[in-house]
Amino acid sequence: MTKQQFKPLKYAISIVLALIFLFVGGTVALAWDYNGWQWYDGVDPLYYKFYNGTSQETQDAFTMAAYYWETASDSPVNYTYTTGNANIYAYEVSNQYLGWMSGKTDIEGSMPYITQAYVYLNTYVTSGYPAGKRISVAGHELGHAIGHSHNDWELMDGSDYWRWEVAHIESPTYSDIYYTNQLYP
Amino acid sequence: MHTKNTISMMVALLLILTTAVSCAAATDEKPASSEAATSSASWVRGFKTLEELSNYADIDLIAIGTIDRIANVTNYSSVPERPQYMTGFAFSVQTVLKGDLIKEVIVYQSGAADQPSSGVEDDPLFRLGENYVLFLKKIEQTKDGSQNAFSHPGPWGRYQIINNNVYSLNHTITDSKVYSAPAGLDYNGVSIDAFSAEIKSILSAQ
Repeated sequence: MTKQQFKPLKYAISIVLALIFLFVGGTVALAWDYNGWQWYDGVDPLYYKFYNGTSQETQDAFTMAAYYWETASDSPVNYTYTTGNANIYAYEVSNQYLGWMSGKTDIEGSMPYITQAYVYLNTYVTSGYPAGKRISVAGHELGHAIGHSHNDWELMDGSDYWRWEVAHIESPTYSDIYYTNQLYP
Repeated sequence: MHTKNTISMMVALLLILTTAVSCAAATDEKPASSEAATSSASWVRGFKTLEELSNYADIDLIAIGTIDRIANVTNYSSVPERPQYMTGFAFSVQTVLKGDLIKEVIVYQSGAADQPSSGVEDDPLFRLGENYVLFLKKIEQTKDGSQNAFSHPGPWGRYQIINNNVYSLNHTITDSKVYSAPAGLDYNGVSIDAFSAEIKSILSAQ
């Protein structure tokens, strides 16, 4: 191959390398599932409070879960309890008809920005859980409330069984926090 | 020649940086858009294989049938400021693969059709006329004493039948970001006959 023949080949190699980086970079960035929402003003602080009638057991679960989110290494999240207006309202329901569902998060806002979030535990289910498992559910819901979707084998794993009983996850993992930082740089 | 090489590498670097920026989830401007909502859940149990699901002790009924009508809609929240709705769908049973023979069951889901975005994103509300294979748990000691109330384990417990072919939820009304079916439960058009035969084979092996 002559030098003249090799010239266009060098340009082609450069473009191919760029495309490879583009694909790999995109794949890595898309390896985590977000729910498409986020807080416009970030997650420091995020104020939460409990609706009247929320049991101490449920309050303790959310309080500890919020503490875990806040104190995880490199976490950008600062969940702060308030008695005033809150970003996130936590409460409980007891519903045997939805007995496979241990918790739920509702997000409201103008896509993609969250203006209000509501998280609950279904005590028909969670009252029978060990405290740590209940905290894992609360932490999972708080993760939805800041923009995460389901991601296997993390705190954001959608199954209480896999998350807590199999993987023993009760607080945000490295990936939960890493991708929170990607969402809120 | 050296200049052209440098330009090529700069173009490549620019493409990489463009990718990084485009893949970032945060945006700098707050766009105006309409009000919207979404709901996500935590589920008691997930499943990895059809064998695990079919044999699970709490799966009392595996049935093929049609979502026939809305039987009831209920606000189940005790918080006045925060109503929460669930819908009981009447599921007309054509075939029972596991459990007692029954003509109709009421299957409950979070959400209500007239409350937009009240359904859970990885368990969207059933629509009338849809055909499914459902894996169901009987709800015992219901408040109204009914004997045909059932629930399903979220996305793992429902498989839509379209033109006699079976699909897991990630191939129909959600995308893989919302529900990523495990390999052992990822069905993308297997015939209902084959799906049923597989379940029967699993159950008969017990």
